[in-house]
Amino acid sequence: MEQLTSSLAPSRSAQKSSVTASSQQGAGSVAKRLSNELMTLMMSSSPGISAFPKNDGNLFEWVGTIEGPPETIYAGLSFKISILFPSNYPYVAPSIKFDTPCYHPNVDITGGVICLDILQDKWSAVYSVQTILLSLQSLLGEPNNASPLNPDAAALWNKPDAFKVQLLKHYRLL
Amino acid sequence: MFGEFEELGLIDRYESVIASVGYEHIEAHVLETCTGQWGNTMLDVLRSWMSDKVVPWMLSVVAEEARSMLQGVGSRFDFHINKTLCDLRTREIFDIIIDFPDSMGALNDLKDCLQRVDQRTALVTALRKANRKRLLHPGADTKLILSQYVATIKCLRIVDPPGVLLFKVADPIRRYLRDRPDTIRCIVANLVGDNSDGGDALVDENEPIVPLQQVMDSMDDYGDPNWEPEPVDAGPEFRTNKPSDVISTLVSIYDSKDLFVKELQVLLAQRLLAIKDGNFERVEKERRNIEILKIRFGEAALQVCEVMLKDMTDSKRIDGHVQSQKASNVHPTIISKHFWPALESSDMVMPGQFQELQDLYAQEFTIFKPDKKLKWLPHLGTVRLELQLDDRTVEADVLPLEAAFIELFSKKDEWTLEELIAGVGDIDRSAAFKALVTWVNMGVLKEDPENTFVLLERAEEDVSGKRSPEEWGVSAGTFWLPIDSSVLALIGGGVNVGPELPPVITAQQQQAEQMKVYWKVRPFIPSQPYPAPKLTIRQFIEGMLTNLGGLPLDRIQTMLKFAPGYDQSIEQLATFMEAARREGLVVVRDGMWRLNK
Repeated sequence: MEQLTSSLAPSRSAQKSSVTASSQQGAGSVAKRLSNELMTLMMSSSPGISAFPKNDGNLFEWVGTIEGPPETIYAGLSFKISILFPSNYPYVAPSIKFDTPCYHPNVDITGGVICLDILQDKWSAVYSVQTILLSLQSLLGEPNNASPLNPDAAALWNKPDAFKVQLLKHYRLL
Repeated sequence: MFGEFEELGLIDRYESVIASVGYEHIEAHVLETCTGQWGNTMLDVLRSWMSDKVVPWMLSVVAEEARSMLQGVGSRFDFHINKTLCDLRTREIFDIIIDFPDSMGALNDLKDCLQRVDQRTALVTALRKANRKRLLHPGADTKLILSQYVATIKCLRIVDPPGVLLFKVADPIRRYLRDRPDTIRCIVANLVGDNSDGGDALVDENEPIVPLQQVMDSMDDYGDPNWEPEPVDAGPEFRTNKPSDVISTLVSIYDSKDLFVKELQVLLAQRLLAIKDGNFERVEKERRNIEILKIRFGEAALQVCEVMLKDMTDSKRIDGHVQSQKASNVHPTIISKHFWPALESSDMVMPGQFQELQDLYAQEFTIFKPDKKLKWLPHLGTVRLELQLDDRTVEADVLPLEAAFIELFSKKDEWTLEELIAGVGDIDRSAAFKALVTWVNMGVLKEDPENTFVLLERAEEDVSGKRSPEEWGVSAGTFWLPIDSSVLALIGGGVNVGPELPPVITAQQQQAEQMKVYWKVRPFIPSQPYPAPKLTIRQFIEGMLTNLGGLPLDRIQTMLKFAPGYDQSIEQLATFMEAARREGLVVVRDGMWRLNK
């Protein structure tokens, strides 16, 4: 029995250390993936979307900017969003919210929480910051009124003038 | 005399002296006979020379009894011939390669010598040094480097079939070529047999066309009965590349063949668009080229090229149909936007009758293909026109912009440069000026005073002569008759075409576009010659400032460590930002840098 435990003990600790090692390695690879995504985002010239890490030294917290797509009610406005990457990104979606108050059927006006399928159950590891930003940009022009987070906005969507008034009332530049 | 020496026992004593005399003689002879003689194998000649001349001389020195000793001396001399010749050829190797294939003899000599003399490292060092000094510098033409590289491959294969030497020598060349911006272009131009600018084709005409080999994957084939161990001096990173064809080797300079395929599309676009008057033989020629290239690159990779070629034939067919419905002077080349590389865009609008012709054609086209929409690229193409002036008729093949300007002069005779530019849409001032100068040179227009152009209804005999206003005449009977204008049209598939990208922009040009701003400020950052990773700095600063608002310089500096390869000091960054400020890209207030919006 004693022999058994003694033989188990080192293997357990070895296992433990290997786990920490792999999680460290994991963090390294997440950082690598994020810096690659940053590089891709910087090199691509998608108009109206942009994002950058908030602080040097921390790749897991980004600030993004989305300009309202032209020919939509949001044209000419720009919205700041914050992006928080989990340590097991990209297997889990980053949490994203609007910092600029955004009057939109699928955005919570006070908290900035966004209701977008690819940020919840439809998330896949092939998505990237760029695809998220592009989806958000197109969400601005084409809301999903079937599952609104902001029922007032959803109700007003078909009355552009009244919608615009509400939008500008809540909108403020950060 | 030697006999007496022998008796005196002097031979033993001076043997080394005699030997060194022999060595010197051999050296002098080898250098004298072999320098620059690369056509034939010299080794055999040297050997027979030794048995004819040197050996009898030695015999005269050494007495009968010492024959046994001679054996050793003989083989030492033979070795010395090899060594001297090898040294000589090593010194000459660069020129030998240039002379290939006329230097086959020298290469075979070198191969034999290297088997006896261990000079492989020396050869590699010498060749690398020569390459660095004579080949891999900005003064050398890329084409030249490529052909020398190909020659090097062929030569070193002869000298050293397993390819170890080649691997060592080729590495710096390949790395250098990868940095040259026009390497891909040169290779691709060669692939399509574009030898218009002279020079030898890299590819042997007789070489069979084979699919590209994946040189990179070198999984050892364990079942290969002819397997041989890697040579002893092979480095750990050495890969036996099975003798592959030249093109495969060249393409393998880059990691993927996609770059080539892209460049190939650009080149094909340029060549197709340059074809005038529906010269279908040339289209057929291009088609043949592409068919050959398909064997190399695979069918799928060249799908796009296939579409481009089909566009050319379709254009002719469509044009034939439209002309049959309503004869028109316009003969567009209709291309599918999604399959052609980005074409140069322009905001130019053709004035007057050109516009009418375009519209008429577009109408007919819409009837023929209801689901497609023509988007004209009026700045590409050529216009053949005939100007009827008071006293003369001018016929000319001109660029559309030039035609547009002269069309404007049918309205009135005197225009300022600004009015002219406004008349054809938004175009570059220098381009406008250049177009006008064409007409000035033809004696149709005159600049007087500066930036004002007048039409010369009557040819001016003496340019410096008096210019009374009457001389310009009234534009009574002036009208423009385009005989044949071929304009490019673009099918926009009914979709919003968006900001037009210019195809026929090479990959490098696109890259250059991206770094335009960077290059403008480049002189202020005098560090490395190849700042590849730094091109993105501007984008990084832009991204940073867009999202984080104003930032002090030191924050920008620390944040830039997200940009891979960033190694500038904060002072260099300051000059960079200052230059960007002068360009109006950023503003600075209270030490905080912001984007200028």
